[in-house]
Amino acid sequence: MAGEIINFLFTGTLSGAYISLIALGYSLVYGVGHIMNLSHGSFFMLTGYLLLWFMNFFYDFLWLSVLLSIVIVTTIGGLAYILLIKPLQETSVGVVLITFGLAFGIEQYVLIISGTDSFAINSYLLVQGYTEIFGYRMINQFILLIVTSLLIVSTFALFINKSKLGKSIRAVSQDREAATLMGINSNRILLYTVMISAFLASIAGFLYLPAAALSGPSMGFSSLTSAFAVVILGGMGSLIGSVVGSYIVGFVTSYTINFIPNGPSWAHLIPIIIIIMMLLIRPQGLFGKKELM
Amino acid sequence: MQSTKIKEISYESKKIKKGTIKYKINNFPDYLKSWVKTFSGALTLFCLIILIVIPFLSTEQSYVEFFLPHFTLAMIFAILAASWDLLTGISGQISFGQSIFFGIAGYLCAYLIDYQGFPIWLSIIIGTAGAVFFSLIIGIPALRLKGPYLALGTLVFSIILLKLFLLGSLSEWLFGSEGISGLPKMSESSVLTYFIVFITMIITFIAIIQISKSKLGTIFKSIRDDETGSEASGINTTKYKIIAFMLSGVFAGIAGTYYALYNTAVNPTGNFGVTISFFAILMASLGGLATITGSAMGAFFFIFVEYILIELGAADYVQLIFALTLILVVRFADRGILKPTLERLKDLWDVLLGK
Repeated sequence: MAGEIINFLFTGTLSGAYISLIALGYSLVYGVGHIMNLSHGSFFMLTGYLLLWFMNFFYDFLWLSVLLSIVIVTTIGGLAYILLIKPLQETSVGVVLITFGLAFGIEQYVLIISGTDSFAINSYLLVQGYTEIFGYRMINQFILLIVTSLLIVSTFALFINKSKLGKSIRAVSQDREAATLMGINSNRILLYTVMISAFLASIAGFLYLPAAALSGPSMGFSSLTSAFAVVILGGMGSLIGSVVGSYIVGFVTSYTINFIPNGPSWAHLIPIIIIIMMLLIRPQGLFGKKELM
Repeated sequence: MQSTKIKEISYESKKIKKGTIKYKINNFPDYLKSWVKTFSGALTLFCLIILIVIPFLSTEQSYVEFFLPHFTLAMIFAILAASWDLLTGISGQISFGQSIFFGIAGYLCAYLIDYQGFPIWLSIIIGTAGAVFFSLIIGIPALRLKGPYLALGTLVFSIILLKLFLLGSLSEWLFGSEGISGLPKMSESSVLTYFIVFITMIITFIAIIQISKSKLGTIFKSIRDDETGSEASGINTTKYKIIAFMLSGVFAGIAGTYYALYNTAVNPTGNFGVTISFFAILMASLGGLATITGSAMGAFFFIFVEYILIELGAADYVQLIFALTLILVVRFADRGILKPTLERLKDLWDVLLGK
């Protein structure tokens, strides 16, 4: 019983930790630029696969592979903004279609190279082994993930509130034209925002995926469904909402898996149940503002 | 209870349709002559004649068994793409969830045929009705979402439905990852199948184009262009958005049942996969958003290019190339690549006719 409770708490925190990074980036990009980036999930997935391929290539230089993966995914995010998203900003249909195309393209590319097999890349963990508390084993990599996620989220909150770039981002999110009039290069701010969100997704990718196994390129869209549930729950564009929502989703999923009969099967339906419930009860989310919808 | 409600609404749309066709039927010979003289009329007639003639070009086994079904498949996808165009291009409800209607109709039809022994045509009708019923379930929460949120929402619904059928122990009730197989074909003769699908496609396109030109279509377009304005003008946008979803569901459902019969099997990834929604979007975008006939062009173009790529041995790369195509089309050719080409042809036609 104690084991189950600890498992519930740990798995919930873990899911919340990595989903919060993904949802934070997604919500950020939408809040600042009204860009619905459907390829966000594929950034998460691609980092894991890049790590896998680089490790097969470099053999032992783990840190180099990690660095390269993160840099590549962040660059792809930036390029996607410059080449694909920015020219289409007037029409919301265009952005959505083109990022969908990009997500699908990345998924197909990964499919061509690695197929649909699952890969466990346990040996690529940054920290090995596990810790035992009350007889329950926790994989150290996951502990690292939780700590890093909390650190990054707090750093990000500080960054958004105190730093000059952070304030510029907030300015652009509130009123893009006024920000431009004040001398902020909104275009560049949006570019940085997209790159930051890709960076966050890739951090989640390289921390979570080695321990959790790559289960196929469909992970891109799967993570997107969780992110969507989180932003609906927390409120699109609200950064607090994304973080809080992620942990709620994480714990609810973990509770379902551990304590409800046939749990793991129902776990797939959790996002949709949350989405439908929130849409019917409070569409703007827990922390969202009414106008966002 | 639910089925009477569905029948009422579909009767309502049929009523609107008849109003505009009546005139044409009354003045039929003159109307036909003047229509053929226009560029679009002549081109459509030309394409129709080609399509009618294709099955008879050769009686070789390989042609009939392997080549002809590709065209049948193209027409099935044309119906699906047109259904997406109706929902997104005309009504402005961005949807990535065509695979939902497609898969539900296909599975329901397959289940009825295989497990309940229903006759084929009854299963097709019930399968489509099931898809429409489901579109109500999707439509109602979806109404809270606008624009890009709706896009993501429909995408998420379709993925979760896919997972429901594919993974976990619930999927075992739903025939698991193997799906249902061993369905009969629509008909033993692939020529007959071709014509059945062909006639369905013609009816679909006429129906959607008539809807688009009718008062209902104007309401859809006004919702697409300015939803707040439409609400302010007194249009019940909720009701019409639901109608748009249901109409799209009807045609996507028909396409879904035909696809199930074409493949003689249904399985989760093939019928519920994101790929299906992607194909619909790609084909309609190639032909041009909101131009219904573009979907047909896009579908044939797609099947043609896919066939060439497979012949060249690049079968694995097909989806990737199409993903790049979608990116390029959306980025550079907002109105599709096939319509502007036709407009150039039209200019040529005008020159030839000495205008």
